Amino acid sequence: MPTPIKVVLVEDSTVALEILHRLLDSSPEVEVVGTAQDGVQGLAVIAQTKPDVICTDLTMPKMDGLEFTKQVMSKFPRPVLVISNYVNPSDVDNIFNLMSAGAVDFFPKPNAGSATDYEKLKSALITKIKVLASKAK
Amino acid sequence: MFIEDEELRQLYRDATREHLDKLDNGVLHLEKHPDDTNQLQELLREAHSLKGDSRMLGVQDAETLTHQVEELLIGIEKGTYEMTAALCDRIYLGLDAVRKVTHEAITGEPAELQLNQILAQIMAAESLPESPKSPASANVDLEDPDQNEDLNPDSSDLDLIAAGQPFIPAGLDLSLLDPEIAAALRGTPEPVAPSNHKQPPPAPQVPEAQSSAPIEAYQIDTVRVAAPTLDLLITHASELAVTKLRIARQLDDLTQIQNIWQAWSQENLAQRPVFEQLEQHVDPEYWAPLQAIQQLHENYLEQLGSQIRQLQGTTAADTARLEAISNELESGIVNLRMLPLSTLFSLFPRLVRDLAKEQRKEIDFVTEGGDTLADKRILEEMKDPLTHLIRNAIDHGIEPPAERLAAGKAAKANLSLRGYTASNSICIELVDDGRGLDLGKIKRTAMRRGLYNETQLEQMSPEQIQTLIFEPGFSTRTTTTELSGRGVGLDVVRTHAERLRGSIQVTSTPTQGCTFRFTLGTNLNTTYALIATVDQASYAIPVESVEILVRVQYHDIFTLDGNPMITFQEQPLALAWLSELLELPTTPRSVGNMDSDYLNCVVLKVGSERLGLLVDNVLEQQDIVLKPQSKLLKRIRNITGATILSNGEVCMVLNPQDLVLSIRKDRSQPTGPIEAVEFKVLLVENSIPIRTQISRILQRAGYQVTEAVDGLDGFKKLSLDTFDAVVSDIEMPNLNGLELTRHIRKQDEYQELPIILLSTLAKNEDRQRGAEAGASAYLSKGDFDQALLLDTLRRLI
Repeated sequence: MPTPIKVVLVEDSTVALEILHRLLDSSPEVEVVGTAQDGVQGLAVIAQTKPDVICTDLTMPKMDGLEFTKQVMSKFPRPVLVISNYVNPSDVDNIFNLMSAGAVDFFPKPNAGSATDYEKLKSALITKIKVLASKAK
Repeated sequence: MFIEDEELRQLYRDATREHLDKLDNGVLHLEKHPDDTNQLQELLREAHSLKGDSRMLGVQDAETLTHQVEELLIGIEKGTYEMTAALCDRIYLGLDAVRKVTHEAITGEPAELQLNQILAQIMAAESLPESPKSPASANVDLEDPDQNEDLNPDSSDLDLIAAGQPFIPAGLDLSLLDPEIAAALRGTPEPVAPSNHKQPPPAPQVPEAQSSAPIEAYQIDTVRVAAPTLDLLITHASELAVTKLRIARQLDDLTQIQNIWQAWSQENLAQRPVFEQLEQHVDPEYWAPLQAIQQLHENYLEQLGSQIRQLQGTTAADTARLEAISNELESGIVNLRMLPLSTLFSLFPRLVRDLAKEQRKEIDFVTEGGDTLADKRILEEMKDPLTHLIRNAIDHGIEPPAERLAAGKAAKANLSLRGYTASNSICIELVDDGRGLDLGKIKRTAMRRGLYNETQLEQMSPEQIQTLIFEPGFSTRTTTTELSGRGVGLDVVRTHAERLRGSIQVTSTPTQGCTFRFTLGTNLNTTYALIATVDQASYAIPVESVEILVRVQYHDIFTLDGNPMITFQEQPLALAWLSELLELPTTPRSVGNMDSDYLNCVVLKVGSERLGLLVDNVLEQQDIVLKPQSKLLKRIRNITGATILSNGEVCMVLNPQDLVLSIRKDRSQPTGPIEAVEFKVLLVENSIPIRTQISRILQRAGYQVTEAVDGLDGFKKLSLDTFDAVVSDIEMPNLNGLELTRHIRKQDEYQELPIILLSTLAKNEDRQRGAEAGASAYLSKGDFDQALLLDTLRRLI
């Protein structure tokens, strides 16, 4: 088994953070090495943990996901996956801005649903993270 | 809707309360300062977070309601709505409803909310004519007072509202109202359609009615505290303990003063007859002033005496009180850091499940005593050792189902993790009912590693032999699987336990299973240390690593490879001057020019390594509070931290592990029996370039390599010499690696010969096949890592 992909989660909502954390923890291929609740904290965590992939929320206090992505790209360039309710395919502006900032992929926030939905969601998210991690190498 | 998961429920409770409070206050602020766009942005973010959280946890009603509130806020942002009191009321209506819905999600108490009614009220207001300055909107404000009078509800109506019943005031003709409102009031939802409002909607009244319904009292039940804050508190509390000690010492000083006073008074009393005699010989004219002075002295002495006694009394009482308070404070803070063991235990069921699945074993994993409280440091530090032991138990202890059935056991193995408190310590036990420890195997390994010889082993009890598995460099593993951590032996597990001032015991009954028991101290904050001096400076040495204090005479010192040694317990023991190890700027010492005949030697023991540390003086033993180094310093060699001694002196705390290591580094490798032997490795590989490459790697690492071109050749060469390990490719002509392994394992003398297979086949089935053939380790060429190969070899030999 290869070493798990190191992921840092940046998300201001403790609830969402916990859910994403659990989602990723349940996969042996991914390891959450750090979490932060805003962009400023996120940068510090990244500097310390050197993750393979970063998952971030868009709307956050202090430093939002857009500015955070820009900073990550200039300081510690790594694949950034934006997990937000504002990055559904219809939110073209957000997606465009984030992509210009350097974000590589997008994922809508998980929704409470049936167990099968959850599994689908989980595998979709893990797949995205794996793809990003393989690109980084 | 109730959130089943307790942790998520609490997170949601805290988060929603925070969001709702901020929204409430923010809307209030916005009502007074409608131009504060920053505040509006903040509110939008809060509403968004609240909506997101609710959505993720499936609290749909909260999501829908918050969405409506968000829509209103967006409307304000875009200028579609003007910030009026009425609009604020509508937002509050929504927020109150969200509060109730989330209350239900958190407590399970039904909110009994007419969602449709409330939504209609929020939306009905929303579907007012688009222009914010329309007369209709103005009417709402104007007609408010009248309507309040009209609809002034009596208390029974209020109860109805509280119970969630649609409230229809008497005499209100529903047909005159807006159809949506009417529908909402009747309690039947109807699609919201834009319409002309002849009558202003009575929406603003509802919040008033709602607000008079019983509301949960505001109360903060828990305060979240960052762990470092607690750590800081504990350092302060421990320092208080030291201060307390110093104050207690003042009591001794007072006793000294009291003694002096007593001696003085007695002397005075003894002088009295002499004085009286003198009186008869001296002219009374001179006598009177002399006597007055004497009297004065006596009075002062008397006063001094009573003052001292009083001071002594109060100091004793204060010290006792201070002691009681500071102890309470300390134990209180320590208890704050206590967490249930379940925090740690909950990490393992999944590990067990995954490992069991991967190795096709059936395991019933049980944890007990999860509610036992332990210091958070125990939880933090025990994670790795327990993970290691659990992996070991599954890898080596628990048999595959078929083997268990054959041995007359249930196919499903039991593995339990237990925590409990025993007097002053916490015990954590890991019990399995697997095959237990194999004493013969332990003995053989101990001999192969050169730890003990056969006669020594003969004399050992089974318990002593079982304990050998914790010796550094010992591992009965002949198989290195991916799962058992790399390069970590059971000695590390023991080191962890010792760092927590605890111990580990193992008891095992062959074929019945094995129990590992950690006994850990509960007070982790003070360390018992030996205070020694070098160059007038004090250094603390943790007592755990001090084996014994000895005095060394000069003529006992001899040199081995240029290093000073003594014979200690019939074994050579390396000596080192602490001042040299700490690189203190002193004149280099040499044996023979010392003033005293003896040298004070502290014998350190770390694991199985010993070192005689020469110091100037050994002062005392005392409890110290270790304060870690400043965060600015990443790590200082030989120093763990500092402490303040009871006399107020700052004292460095030495790190025995480092000291023992630094002596090894300083001096060229001492020639032990193990290093003297050059291990022989048989390398079987049919590809010439790979063979040459691996051969070079191995030779450079100090192995003597014999090459073979295929399995058959390898098997022949194996019998010509005695090898310490075989490294073999799998895909080869004549006899492939797997067949070669099987052939080798058939021979009794090669049962424990380490065999490392290298292959491009890296799938789990391939590994499984390798393990079944009897290989000790399986490395894939795809991610070939020479350090890993050497590491694996070193561990297996």
